[in-house]
Amino acid sequence: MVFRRFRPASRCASAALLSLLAVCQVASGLETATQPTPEQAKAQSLAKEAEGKLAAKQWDEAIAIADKAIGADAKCGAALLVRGKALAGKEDLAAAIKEFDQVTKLAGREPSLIALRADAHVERSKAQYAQGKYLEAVDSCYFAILEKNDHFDAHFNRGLAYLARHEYDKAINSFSRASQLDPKSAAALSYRGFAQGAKGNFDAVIWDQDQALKIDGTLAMAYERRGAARLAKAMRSSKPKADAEAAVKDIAKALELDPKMGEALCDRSVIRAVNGDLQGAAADADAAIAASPKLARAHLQRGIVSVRQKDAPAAMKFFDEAIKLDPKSADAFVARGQARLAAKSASDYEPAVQDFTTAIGLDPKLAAAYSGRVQARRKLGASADDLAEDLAKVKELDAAADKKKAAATVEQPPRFEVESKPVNPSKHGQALASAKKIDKFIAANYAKHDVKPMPRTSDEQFVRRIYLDVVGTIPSYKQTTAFLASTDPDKRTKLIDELLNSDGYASHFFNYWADILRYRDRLGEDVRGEPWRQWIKQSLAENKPYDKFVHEMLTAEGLIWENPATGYLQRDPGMPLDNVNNTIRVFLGTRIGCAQCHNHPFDKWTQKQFYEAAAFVYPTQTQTGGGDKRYWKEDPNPRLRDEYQSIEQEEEQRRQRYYQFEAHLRTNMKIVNDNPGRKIQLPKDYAYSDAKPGDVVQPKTLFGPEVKPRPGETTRQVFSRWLTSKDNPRFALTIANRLWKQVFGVGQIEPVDDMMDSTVAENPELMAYLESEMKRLDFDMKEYLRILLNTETYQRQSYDHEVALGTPYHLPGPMLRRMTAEQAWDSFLTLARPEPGFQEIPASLYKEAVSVNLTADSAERVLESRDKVAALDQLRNKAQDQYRPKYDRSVLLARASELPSPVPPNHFLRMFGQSDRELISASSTTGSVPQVLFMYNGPVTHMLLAEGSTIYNGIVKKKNVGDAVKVVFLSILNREPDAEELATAISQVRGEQRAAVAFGNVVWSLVNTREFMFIQ
Amino acid sequence: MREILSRLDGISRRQWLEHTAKAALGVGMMPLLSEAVSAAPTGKGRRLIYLYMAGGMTHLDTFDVKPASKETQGQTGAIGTAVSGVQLSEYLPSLAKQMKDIAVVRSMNTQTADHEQGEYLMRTSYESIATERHPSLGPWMQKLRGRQNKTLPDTVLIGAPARHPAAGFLDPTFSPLPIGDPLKGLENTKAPAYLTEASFEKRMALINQFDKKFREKYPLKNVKGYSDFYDEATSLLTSGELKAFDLNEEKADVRDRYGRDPFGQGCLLARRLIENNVQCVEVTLGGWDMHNTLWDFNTLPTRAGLMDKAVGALLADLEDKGLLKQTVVVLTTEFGRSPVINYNAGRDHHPAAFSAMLAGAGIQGGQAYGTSDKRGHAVEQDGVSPADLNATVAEALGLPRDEVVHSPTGRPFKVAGDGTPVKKLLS
Repeated sequence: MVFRRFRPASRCASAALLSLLAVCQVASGLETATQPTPEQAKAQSLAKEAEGKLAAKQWDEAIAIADKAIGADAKCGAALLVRGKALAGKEDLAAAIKEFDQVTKLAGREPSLIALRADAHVERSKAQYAQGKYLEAVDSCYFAILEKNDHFDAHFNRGLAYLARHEYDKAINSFSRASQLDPKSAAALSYRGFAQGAKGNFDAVIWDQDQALKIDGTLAMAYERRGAARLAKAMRSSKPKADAEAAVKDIAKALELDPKMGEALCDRSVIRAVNGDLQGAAADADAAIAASPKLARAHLQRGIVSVRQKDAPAAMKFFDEAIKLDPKSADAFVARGQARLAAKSASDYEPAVQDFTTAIGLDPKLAAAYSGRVQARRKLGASADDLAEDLAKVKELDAAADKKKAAATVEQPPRFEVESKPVNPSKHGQALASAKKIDKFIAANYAKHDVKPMPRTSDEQFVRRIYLDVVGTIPSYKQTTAFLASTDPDKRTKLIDELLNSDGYASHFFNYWADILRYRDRLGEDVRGEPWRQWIKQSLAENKPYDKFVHEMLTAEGLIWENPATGYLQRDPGMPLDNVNNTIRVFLGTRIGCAQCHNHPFDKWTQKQFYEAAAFVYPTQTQTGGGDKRYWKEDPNPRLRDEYQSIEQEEEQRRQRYYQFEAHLRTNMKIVNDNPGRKIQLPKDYAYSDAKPGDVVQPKTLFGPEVKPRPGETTRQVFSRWLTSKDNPRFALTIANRLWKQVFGVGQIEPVDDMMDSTVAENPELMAYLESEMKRLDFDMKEYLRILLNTETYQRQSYDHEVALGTPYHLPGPMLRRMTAEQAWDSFLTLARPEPGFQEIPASLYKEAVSVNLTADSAERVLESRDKVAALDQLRNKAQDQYRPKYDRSVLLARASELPSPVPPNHFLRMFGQSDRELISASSTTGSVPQVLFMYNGPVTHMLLAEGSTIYNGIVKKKNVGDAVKVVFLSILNREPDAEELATAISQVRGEQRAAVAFGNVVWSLVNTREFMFIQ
Repeated sequence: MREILSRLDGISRRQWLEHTAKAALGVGMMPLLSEAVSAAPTGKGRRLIYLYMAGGMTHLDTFDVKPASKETQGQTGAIGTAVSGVQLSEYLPSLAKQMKDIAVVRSMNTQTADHEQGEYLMRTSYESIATERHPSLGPWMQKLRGRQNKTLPDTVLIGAPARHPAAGFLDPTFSPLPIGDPLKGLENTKAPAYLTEASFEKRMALINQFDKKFREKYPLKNVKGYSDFYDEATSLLTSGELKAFDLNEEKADVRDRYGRDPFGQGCLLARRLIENNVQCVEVTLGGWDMHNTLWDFNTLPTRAGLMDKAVGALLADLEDKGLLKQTVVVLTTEFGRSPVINYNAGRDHHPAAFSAMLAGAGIQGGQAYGTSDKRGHAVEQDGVSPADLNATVAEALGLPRDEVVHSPTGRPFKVAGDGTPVKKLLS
């Protein structure tokens, strides 16, 4: 009960509160920029006179003089302010507010006038507070702050109004700000403490009151508040003595300073009642009522004492009065309900039920109200079934309380997981046959160019490489040893299938596509990328045919959460020319970008051809306006904006949230759509003779067979059909070559995205076969990779000779490559954690949160939706926090494909060359000094050696140092140490007792080898 | 040659060149030019300190006060400076005292009120497009002048956002070194506690021992190139140069002078770095996007106070150390803020007129160049675009402004685009 009494001053007590406020200064310098007229001068001097009367509380006299001043100058702000204050003094609040309004409307930027307006806002706020209009009071203070941000009274009074609105955090901020402006204000500190008490932070209450008392040792309310907080602590403590004694002293001191302080008298009454001194308790409560007849708490306390004195009728009267004074006190209703129950008279049970019901309405989490209602209903003969609901509620609230006490177990937020589709076992034979054919093409080239192929990889080399190439990480210790131990002659080809079937495939290839597609979590203004991100992952996991994957992106329509494939178009919002340029480069391996501004200098493309290609997608837009009749009969924006203005909320919030509200409306209008009316024209500076500047250009394909539009098709659909067709000479070719490069480290055609008519592959017969395989497989990417990975060529060791500039590479083996940034990071994660760490939350949650029906939904619903999105972000942050290690909270343990995109420039991934996702395929595997520093001293090696890491667990399981060293080598390099390495490592480890430290140098050195960073 | 180049067009060409450059040149890749070769022409700056006010610095309450227009000016007062006739905002007392060294540009203007676009334009002189990424000034300096520093990076970004254009289309070896927190300095330079072997040489020996077989098997230049980065990092860690990043080397009163906030300490770090021959340091101060309660203590007064204190200390310090005559100091932002005080007592984005500041080598201090109209709404005289400002900086640095560098897509670019240097700003 003590806690609950830390409610803000009730409306009735407000007059007393306001009297505590520092007297508001009347604006000092009333001089205006220009010389005042005689009338103005007269008005001002009268206004000063009126102020004197105000100080003496001679309200009518003040009004009379102010009237005269206003007669002389109707715009004399000072006089209007005085008249308002005098009216407020007479408790004519409505009239006072009108006066203050007039002052606030006086226009001008003179400092004295600004100050006057600010004062008028604050005075209005006080009057509104006295009327119980707390929201308006908050707003008035806000207006004062807008005029003059360093207005102490404005911040202080806003704090009081927030208290009345039970907005304790905001109140604390306001009082802090007031205290900052006037560090000598004991009241600001004392009230801040009061707000802390309402939140249950009793130590903070005590600290603030201590500070207040240092400034003013005679501040009775500070003693009272400190005493009450100590009392609250005592009542919750198993060793209450010290706190209780201090509380008694504080309250005595408060009463010594102010013998008629209602709150303090109530406190003493509580203490006396607890000590069994009911007579004293009753006397104190009576005194409190006498001193502050409108203090609801005093009546409530007196009633509680009466109950203890077994005087039910008297108690009822006090409770009635308490409820009358504060009809929103759930405690008072519960108390009255309990008193009615105690009366044991049949006619009281029904009203008791009503009291409890009212209490529940006021505070649905008040367990005492539910249990009271159960008792009362039982008396009325309710059945067990009828009571079940309330009893369940009591149980639930008790459980919730227990749970809170138990510091709540951490809830696992939902995570997005792909559903992977396995490769078809029946196609295995064909895959092996195709692989053999590829080997033949390559062998023919060996003979032709006199190339000596590399030997076959060892199992150690193979297992490491296949994991890195398919799932993007080195294998774990377990996976390594299981593979090495297996005697199955088909173990390699089986592992290839297993990995292609696993979720890791989508994760690794997502990183590849994110680099190409420039994936970002913020695609454009107000469009989030996560739905697209998850769509890409799922498309890869379920092995969506590549032509379908591309076609869906190129032709997607709608909102991103309805159709995540629209992310591709949303990545270049409002930039159709850039978009078409990117599309042709990414999917057709052809650069036409130069022709955007002039005929291509190296290739054959003319500027006109560029525009003809762009003409297909030019009608596509990435957003709509409210006036778009295809989507809205009537523009929903004006209605929603109007409604927004009438939502009851703080003015400050209204203004600040308006941007977010508008942004949310825009988000819901980011609909990818086709507007056939949009025609592309040649630029104004078009300089060639085949057309004129400004000519409208008709769509025409760049190469390959012409496509005829089908009925009902948009030009974009036609374009996509042409682009993704098997007949397109570069579509299948490009993806076949791209994936070849992924597997072997070098494309048959290099660069992979700059083909020309003259382009010749390194091994043209092979390239032709690869392209035909891609078509035969109907763009089945997993099946295609399965073939490449099963070749003998892939199983060879990486080439160990330098390839000179400009010389063709005839594939004696795959190229030796440095791990990509993502492979390196994910490999560290494999060493560090048994499970993958943080995973992104499902975009389906975002879909539920963000979507609003602009035609039907209210503005309030839009705001709610916006809040839900914000709540989701919080949920994600909280989920991430669980995966931030103690030794470095900035590290988020998650696979690269689960991390935000782009990551900050000083993140491991960026240091190691991950793209900032601004340009196509902008990642790099170049070394740098900061990279090495990261490897030397960054948090990653710490990840490996923290207690509980995978490698750490592997080490401590082994009793023998030699065996543990083998675990370290097998974990990091996926091979056993040779005798020399073993001896070196063992000598490092010996002599150090702590496991992590003992192996620290060995682990650190191994991850810093080139052998670790390069893929053999 | 052209044919080979065109065949290798694009990012892939860049990657290929990286690979082969390493193959051809071994280490460092960029030839290390001697001081004699790289020294800037006389009277020109050799270093650049670029101070970026992110969010759109209000010109009306900093460098372009309008005391005569009360409606516009709001609560900001004007003060006199060391140069008669030039007034600054009351929030810039230190800069006012040093006005003789400073050239204020009051006629900056762009077309974009979007932060990202504006920032990009200011840092690169080019508009951002989806198919190209332009380099910022530091990497341009490196490209045009060659690498200057053997162990330290040539460009350091302090507190820059993730979207900083950085090296743009240039080779990744031009990438600036990002530093998040100036107090932490260069990250990852302290050995982790769990390593028992304190001696660096011994730990390196251990790496080399475990790596022996692999390196014997793959004596390739890209492996070797990587090893060279290890050597460079090791020499950085063991050389004294790392101290350039350590602010603890500075006396407490010097650190206090700059302000103990990240921007103040970032400016101090910038000075230490250019003392150590780093070519370009950019320090970002965020928080200028003042849509709400601009005059609240925590908004403009605090932000401008930090800026004034740090920049004032920086200029004085550079002067004392004789560095100001070889260093160009620029302070700029993406746009200004509106003369109309909005209903949240803040100012909204305003690209039509805003201010920047120049000082140091090659700059004619003690002047306010260009004017905005009486409300600070539009440029009245001598408009300066971001490219013009960068061209002026390039000129002060003696960079070859006309030298064309082709991006991997084959497009031609220049250090300050089509900007024209402002002669009156140059000494």
